[in-house]
Amino acid sequence: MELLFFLLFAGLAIAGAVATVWMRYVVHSAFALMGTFLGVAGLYVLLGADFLAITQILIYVGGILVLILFGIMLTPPDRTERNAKRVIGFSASLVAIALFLAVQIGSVVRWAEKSNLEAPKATAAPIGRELLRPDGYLIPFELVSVVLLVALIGSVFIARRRKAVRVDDSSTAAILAERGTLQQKAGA
Amino acid sequence: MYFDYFNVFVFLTTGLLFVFANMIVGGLVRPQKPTPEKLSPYECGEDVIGDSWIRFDIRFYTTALIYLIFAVEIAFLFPWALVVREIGMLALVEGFTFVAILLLGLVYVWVKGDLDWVKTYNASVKGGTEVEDRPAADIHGGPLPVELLQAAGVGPTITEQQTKGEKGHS
Amino acid sequence: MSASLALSLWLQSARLQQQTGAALGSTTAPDSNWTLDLLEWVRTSWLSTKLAGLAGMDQAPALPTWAAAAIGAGIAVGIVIGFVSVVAMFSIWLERRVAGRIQSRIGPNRVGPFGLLQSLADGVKLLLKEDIIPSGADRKLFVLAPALVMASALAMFAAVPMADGAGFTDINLGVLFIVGISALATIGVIMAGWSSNNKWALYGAMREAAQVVSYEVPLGISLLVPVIVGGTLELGAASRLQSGWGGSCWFLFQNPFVLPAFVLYFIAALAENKRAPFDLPESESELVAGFHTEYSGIRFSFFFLEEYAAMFLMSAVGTALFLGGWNFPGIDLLKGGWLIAAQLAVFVVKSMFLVLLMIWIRWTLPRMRVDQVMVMGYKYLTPLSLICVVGASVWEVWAAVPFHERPIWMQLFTPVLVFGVCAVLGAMLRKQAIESAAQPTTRSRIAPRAHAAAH
Repeated sequence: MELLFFLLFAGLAIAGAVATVWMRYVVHSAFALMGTFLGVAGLYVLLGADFLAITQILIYVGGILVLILFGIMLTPPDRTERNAKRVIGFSASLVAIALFLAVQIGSVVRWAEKSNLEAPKATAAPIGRELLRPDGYLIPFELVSVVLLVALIGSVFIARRRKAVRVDDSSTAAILAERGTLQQKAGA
Repeated sequence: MYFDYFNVFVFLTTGLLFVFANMIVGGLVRPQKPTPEKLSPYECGEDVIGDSWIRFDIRFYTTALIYLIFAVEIAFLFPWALVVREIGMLALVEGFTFVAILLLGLVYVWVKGDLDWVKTYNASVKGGTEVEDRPAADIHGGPLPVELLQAAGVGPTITEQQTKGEKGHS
Repeated sequence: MSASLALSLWLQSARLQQQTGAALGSTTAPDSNWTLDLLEWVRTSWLSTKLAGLAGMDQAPALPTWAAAAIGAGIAVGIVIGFVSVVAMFSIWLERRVAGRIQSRIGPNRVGPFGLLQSLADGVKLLLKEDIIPSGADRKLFVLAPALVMASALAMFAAVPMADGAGFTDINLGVLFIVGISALATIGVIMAGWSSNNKWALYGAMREAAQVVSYEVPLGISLLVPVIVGGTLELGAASRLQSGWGGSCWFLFQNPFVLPAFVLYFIAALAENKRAPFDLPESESELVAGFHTEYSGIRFSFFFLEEYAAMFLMSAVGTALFLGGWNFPGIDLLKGGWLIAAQLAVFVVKSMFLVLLMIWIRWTLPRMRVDQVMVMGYKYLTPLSLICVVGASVWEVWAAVPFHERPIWMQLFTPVLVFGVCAVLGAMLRKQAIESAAQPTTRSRIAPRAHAAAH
C-alpha cells in the first residue's frame, strides 16, 4: 500500500517535472510545476516529515509558484512553440545523467535500514525545541532571519522599478509635448 | 498520523472528482447549442480587441517576493510558538530577535515605497524635474494618470486627494 | 532537481519501502477515528455476525487496514460533501435574506419555507444551463481550475473538528495545514483567470493572487497567538483546552492579546476570502465578475460554492481557536450522544454567527480602493499582529504555568478586560447611531460629484 502511494507521489513529482520542461507554453510549465511540488510534499508525508510537507505546500505552492507566475506575467507574452527536438534531446540527456547519478549514489551509500519502524510522531514541537536549544540550532535559527532579511532587501532592490529618473531640459520638453498629446486625446 | 494524511489525500482527490462528476452528470441534461457570439470572450458587448495575455506590472512581483520572505518567517515561527511557554525567557529573546530582524526588512520596503500600490506621478520635486518610469499597462491597478483625469474635467478634486494621501510616504 | 531527486528515490524504493514500513499501518494500527470505530461496530454487530455464521465463520473477518482506512475516509468525504453543500447553500440563502433586510426589501421567499430552498433551485437551474467554454480559452486549464479550487476547500474541511472526537480527521498540524492548503485555491484562481483569455478575468485573478498573498501574512501571524496560548497546532486539542470554567474558558479570555488577534484574523480572513470591503478581485463595477467572468452554469457554481464554503471554514477556524470551539457554558451537563450533538450544534452556530458577521459587513461597508487594500495588509495588519504575538508570548512566559494554575487575579484580568472593551465600544457605537439617526437626511453627499462634473 505504501509502495502504491510512494509510486503515486513519485510519479506525480516526475510527471510534473517532465511536463514543466515539455509543455509548449511557459504558463503551462509553471502550472505543471505544481504537480512536482505536491508530489514532493506527498513524499515528505510518507517519510513522516509532516511539518516539512505542509511547509513545502505553504512556501512552494503558495509563495514560489505565485512568484513564478507573476514573473511570467511580467515578461512579454510568449506564445511561440518551443523547439521540441531540442527539448527532447536536452531532457533525455538530463534523465540519463540523473539516472547515472542515482544509480551511483544508490550503490555507494549504505542506507540505514530498519524493518520495523515505530509510527512517526508529530514533528513541529520537537523542531521548535531544537530551534531554541543553545547547543542545537539556535544560531542557525537566528542566522536564517538575517539571510531572509538580505534576501528580501536584495530581491526587492533588484525588482524595483527604475525610480525618479532625473531628466535634463530637452527630455522634459519631450515629456511635456507627450503630455500635451495625451490631454488632446483625453479631450477628444 | 498516516491515517489523517490519507484522509486529506482522499478529500483532495474527491474534491477534484466531485467537479468532474458534476460536469458529466450535467452533460446529460443540459443543452449544447454553441454559436460564435456565445463563445466569444465577454468584453461588455464590444468586439474583442487584441489578446488578453498581456504584460503585468512589477508591483505584483514585488508583493509576491515580500510574501515569500514572510511565509518562511511564519513557517519558522509556528514551531517556536508551540514551545514558547515551555522554554520561557530564552524563547522570548530568540523569537523577538528573529522577528525584529525581519521587521527591519519590512521597515526597509516600507520606507523605500515598495509597499505603495499607487506610485504617483510627481513632477514638482525640488532639484529638477523627476519623472517616474510608468508601467506599460496601468489599466488594471491604480487610477488613471492625473493629467488624463484633469483633461477629462475631474482633475482638481482628484489631485487634491492624491497629494493629501501621498504626503505621508512619498 | 526535484525530478532527479524523485528518480533516485524511486530507484531506492525497495529500501525506502522498508523505511516507511509504518506507512498506512502495515506494521502499526492506524490512529483511532470515529469512522474506523463505526466500521468496527458494523463488523461486530448482530447482523454481521449472523451473516458470518451463514458463511461458516463465528465472526465477520476484519478488513485489511488499508481497506478500512479507505472506507472510513469515504464515509468522511461523503458526509463532508453533504455538509459543505448544505452549509454553503444555507449561507447563500442567509446572504440574500440579510441583504434584503438591510436594503429594505424582502429577498428570496418563494421556494420553500422562508425561501430556504432557493439555493437548491438555483443549483438545479445552474446544472441545466449550457456549458460554455470561450473560443479563445485554454480549455484544459479552464476545466481544471474549478476542480482545484473545490479540492482545496474540501481538504481544508478535513482538518476542522466539529465536536469532541467527531472531527473528520484531526491533523496535528491543523492550523499550519489550513494556512498552507489555501494556497491551492489561489493557484486555481490564477489558472481560471489566465485560461479564460478574458481581460477582466486575468486582471481579477492577478488582483486576487496579490491580495491573498499579502493578507496571508497577517492571517498566519495572528493565528500564532492562539498557538502560543494553547501550545498546540491541533484544532481539536485547542478546543479541548478551552473547556474550563464549565465550558466558557475560551482562548479569548485566557490572554489579553487574543481579542486584538481575533479582530486582525477576522479582517485578514475577509480579505483572504475576497469578501467586501475587500472584494476587488470581483468588483462588478470595475472587473465585471473578476476571475470567473467567463464561467457560467455549473462551472460557475463551484466558485460560488467554494466562496461560501471558505467563509464557513475561516469562521470555523476562528471559532475553534478563539471562541472556544464546541464549548459553551453548561454544555458539560449533557452526556453521551446528546453531548456530541450539542457540541456540533454549538460549533456550527458559532461559526454561522461569524458568517453572519461577514455578510453584515459586506452589506454595510463600501468597497475599498485597490491601493488601500494592497497597502493595508502589510502596513497595518502585519505590524499589529506582530505586536499581538509579542504581547501574547510575553504574557504567557510571565505567567509561566497553564491557565488554571495561575493566580485568580490573572485569570480574571482578561475576561474583565474583554467585556470592558466590548461594553465601551458598544456604548460608543450606540451613541453614534443615535446621533446619526437624529440628523435629517440631506443630499449633500452627492453634491461634490456634481460639482466636479460641472468643472
